[in-house]
Amino acid sequence: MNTGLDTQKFTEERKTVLQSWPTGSEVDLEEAFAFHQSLPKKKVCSIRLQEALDQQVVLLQPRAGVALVDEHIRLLSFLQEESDLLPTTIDAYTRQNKYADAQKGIERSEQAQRSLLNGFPAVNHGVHGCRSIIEALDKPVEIRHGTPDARLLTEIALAGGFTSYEGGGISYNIPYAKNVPLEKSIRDWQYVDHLVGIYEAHGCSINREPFGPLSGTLVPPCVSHTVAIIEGLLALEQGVKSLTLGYGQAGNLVQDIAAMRVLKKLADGYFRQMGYTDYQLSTVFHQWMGGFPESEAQAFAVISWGGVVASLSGATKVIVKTPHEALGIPTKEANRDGLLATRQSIQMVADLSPLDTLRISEEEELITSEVTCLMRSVIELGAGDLAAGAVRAFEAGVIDVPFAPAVCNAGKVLPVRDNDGAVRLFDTGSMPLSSDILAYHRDKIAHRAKQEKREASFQMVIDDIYAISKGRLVGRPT
Amino acid sequence: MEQINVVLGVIGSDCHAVGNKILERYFSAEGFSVTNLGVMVSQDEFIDAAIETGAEAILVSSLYGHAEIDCEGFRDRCLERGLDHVVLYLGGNLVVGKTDQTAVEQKFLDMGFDRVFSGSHNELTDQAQLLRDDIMASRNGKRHRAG
Amino acid sequence: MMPYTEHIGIDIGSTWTKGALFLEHEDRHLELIERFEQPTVREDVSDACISIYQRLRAAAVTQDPNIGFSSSAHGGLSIISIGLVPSFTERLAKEAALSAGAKLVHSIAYRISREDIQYIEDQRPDIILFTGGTDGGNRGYILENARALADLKIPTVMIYAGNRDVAPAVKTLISEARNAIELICCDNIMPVIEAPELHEVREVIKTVFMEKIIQGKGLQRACEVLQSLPTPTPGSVFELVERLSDGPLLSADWGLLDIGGATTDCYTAVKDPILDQYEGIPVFHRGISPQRISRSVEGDLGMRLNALQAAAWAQRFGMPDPEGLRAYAEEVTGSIERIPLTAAELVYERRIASLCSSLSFARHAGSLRPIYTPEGLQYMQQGKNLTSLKELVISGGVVRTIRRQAPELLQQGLCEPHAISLVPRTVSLWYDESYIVPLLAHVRNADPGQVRQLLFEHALQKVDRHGEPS
Repeated sequence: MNTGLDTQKFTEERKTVLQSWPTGSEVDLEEAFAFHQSLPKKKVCSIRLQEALDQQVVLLQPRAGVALVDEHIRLLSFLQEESDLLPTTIDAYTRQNKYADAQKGIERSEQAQRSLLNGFPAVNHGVHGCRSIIEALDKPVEIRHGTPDARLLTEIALAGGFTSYEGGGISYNIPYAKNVPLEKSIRDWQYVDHLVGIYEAHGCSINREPFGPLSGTLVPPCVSHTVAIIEGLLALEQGVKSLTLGYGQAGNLVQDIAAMRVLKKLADGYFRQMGYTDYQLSTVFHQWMGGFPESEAQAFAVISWGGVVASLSGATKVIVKTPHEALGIPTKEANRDGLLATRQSIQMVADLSPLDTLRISEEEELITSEVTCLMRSVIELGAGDLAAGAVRAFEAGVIDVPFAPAVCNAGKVLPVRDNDGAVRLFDTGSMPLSSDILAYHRDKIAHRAKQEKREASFQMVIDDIYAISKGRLVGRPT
Repeated sequence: MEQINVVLGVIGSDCHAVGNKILERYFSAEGFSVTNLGVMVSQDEFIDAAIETGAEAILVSSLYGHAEIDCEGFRDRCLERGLDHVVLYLGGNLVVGKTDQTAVEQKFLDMGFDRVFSGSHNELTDQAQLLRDDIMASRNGKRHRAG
Repeated sequence: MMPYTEHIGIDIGSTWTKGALFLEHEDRHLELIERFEQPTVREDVSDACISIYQRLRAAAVTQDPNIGFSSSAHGGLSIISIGLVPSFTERLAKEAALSAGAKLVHSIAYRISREDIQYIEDQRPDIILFTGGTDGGNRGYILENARALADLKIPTVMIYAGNRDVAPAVKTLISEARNAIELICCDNIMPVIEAPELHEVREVIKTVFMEKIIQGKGLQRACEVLQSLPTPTPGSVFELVERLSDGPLLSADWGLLDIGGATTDCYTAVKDPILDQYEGIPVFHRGISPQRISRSVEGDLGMRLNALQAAAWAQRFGMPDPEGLRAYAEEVTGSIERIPLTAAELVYERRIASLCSSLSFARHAGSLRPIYTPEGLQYMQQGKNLTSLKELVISGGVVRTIRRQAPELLQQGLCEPHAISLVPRTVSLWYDESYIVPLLAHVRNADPGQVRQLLFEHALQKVDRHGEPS
């Protein structure tokens, strides 16, 4: 149910959450508030975001996380100079609440003298471990993960001094888990947002960032926007004040610029319509989240293009990929090189006045009407309760994320690129889009099929999925 | 044509579903009755599903280079659990690095898989026909693996 | 009631019969009181046993000592095991047979061939252990194999411990054919993969040995006089190793090596048969985990009958003078009574013992295969981890012939290149000089700590670990 959590029930639930791993006992809210209030402005994410909004610049943020505190500090210190915002990416065990396994990973990493986890196990390192990271660095640090039940992680991370926190009950379930019921993950994320709300009420600003790209593979803007708006609304209801909504680069310049522009407009519209006024809204653009080319040179081109689009689309921040994307966990040098390439490409177009073309505004209109269709249906299904509406919308296939592992996602929708490379809907599944929108998608795809002298088919979808890793945007027949 | 049941899934702890969804659609479109177990499937889940559905083939995907760890003993387990004639396919990014794909494929053929498709960018062309042929051969007791 | 308990343990070997009287004090302290041995009479293996028993009874103070005896005479308990897949039921069937104390004559996987049937008939095993399939699992192979076995032309006991669902069909196939097979069905040795149930099979094998096989081994008279039923010697030793490995105060990382004339028996008990990590690198294991306590038998390694076979490994194990060793091995092959006569011969004798021990561990131990994953190097473990083994008791006639010149345990594996063998790393060696192990095995209800202490008191720790004069 989308209402602020009951204080007494929340307090009881907190006790259980904090007892689920020994470091939970390190959390002391009053002391944590004091720590946050003592943080210099340069370490507070929402302040940095506000500056960027005011100055209309794009902030750069990498992804990074390793098993041990010292090693993690060394890695972030290395990346700090080229980054505006820093990350702490959480390891896979913590994401699945397997703290005992994470502990083993820490011990092994200590023995092996190198990270044997694919991220930073924040719960195991506890409040004190997190604090040493915040203290050692000069920039805001955000927790980035993929955790369906992140209650304890949030407790530790916020008390540990992190000022920004990624995730959401939908966006950290559908693309990350197989069998977690959506009701549960939404409820667990209401806990997260409620806790953030408590920090906000005590003058400690915590930025919240729903995860925009979802499955990261040809996700149509209307799908990810609808999820972002719902998660934003759910967060605001719990008292969140600083929101960053995200979108993953789809590849076509016109579509990406349009998508980023309407994301903010649409969100503002729905937030105000629902009665929320006291919030800060920024946007984040994720460089291409799908398959990358193995060649570093080609990967740099994809990264740089992402930088250009981030800047042209007016994103508040950009999440940067590395030239090692196709190969696995990057070296710190590769991570820095991704930042350097992005910075350079952004600065090549930073001074350009906003692009205004008819095609962009047409695309904006299209996405707006699509999202309106979907949101209308979600609100109807919820009958006054947005949380229930979201659950039912997934059940009914009203929202359908392509290529997601979760069993509660219908998985009927199939995207494909049109002749310009924009992501369209080849199979619209059960999404309640109006007939003129459906016809538009159909025509666009038919046009491409004609150009390629083949039927629009599932093979076309496959070709598109692998196209970028093979060197081009649209998967043309060879 | 008579119905052929196959079981499909991604083995191991990986949550990437893109290739899995592609294969589900491909083999369904090619007329197979596909039971798609999705991601994070264990050896026993594959075998359970194959027993329950009377599947004649198990199509295993493995991503991110953990195939050697996840697929060890798969054929043996099938035999002990009663799947004497099941056709086993394996595909995906089986090992890390740019190693010789033929050697990689041989390693998994030796492990008891009937066909192995190694490397990340396989075209879906004649796999459905291969699978149909292999299942027919298996029905006629012509599986190439001795036992 | 007496303030103490007495235990009599007798073991009938193919050449010697040994017996001992143990005294268990009120405070559970255990003491060796008497020990006798005399040659086993091939024509009547009960003879020496009864004679030793009577001498021990005469030495005993109480009227009702606990009595246990074991035998490995007349080939011990011979078993042919059958499983389906080598890494699953075939392996489990072998392990069950070995841990019950069997002499494993042969093991068959997959389909039983005509040649296999012929071989079984030639070998005439005491028991055929027939397994395969999980419950609800494989039917095809099992029924086909049952059909093949139904035509066996030798009298034998068959224990069926395979897929429960086909047990009735197996029963019908075996009983309706014209054969002299006595079929006993017991619980599946592997009802589900990863949860093997060796215990019941082991107990059934032992019961079959006691109730059906001893007649053929000339043990009936001994049973009547001792008022007790015998166990196969390795079976009771296995139980001893089990008893001494459980409990918080007992070391669970130790082993026992019995180097005989024809075979080398290796018993190991470790706390963690599967490694979690090796030098900080994660280790994975798939399939059935190795048993914490296990026995392996090397049928081609021994001090006399198989001395040549052992000596053939000299070069591989980096030993000097392989030619001289070969010549010596040739000379002692088959002559059980032959003992080393010169200092040089003693060196050879010791080298053969070293090869028997080292090879037996190299085969008993598992290995780590390197696998490169996105998270870097990881290992896949196969077989049992013995790296943690700390103590090793060496038993067998060789202990006397090499006169406290302990064999070396060479850290050499036999695994594929690049793999790491999980053979023991640093081990302190002990000698069972008075060959007390099989006798102590019959002290059943005593305090395991005391039994262990007695064993190590009578086993002399090897002092000199560093090599032979060469």
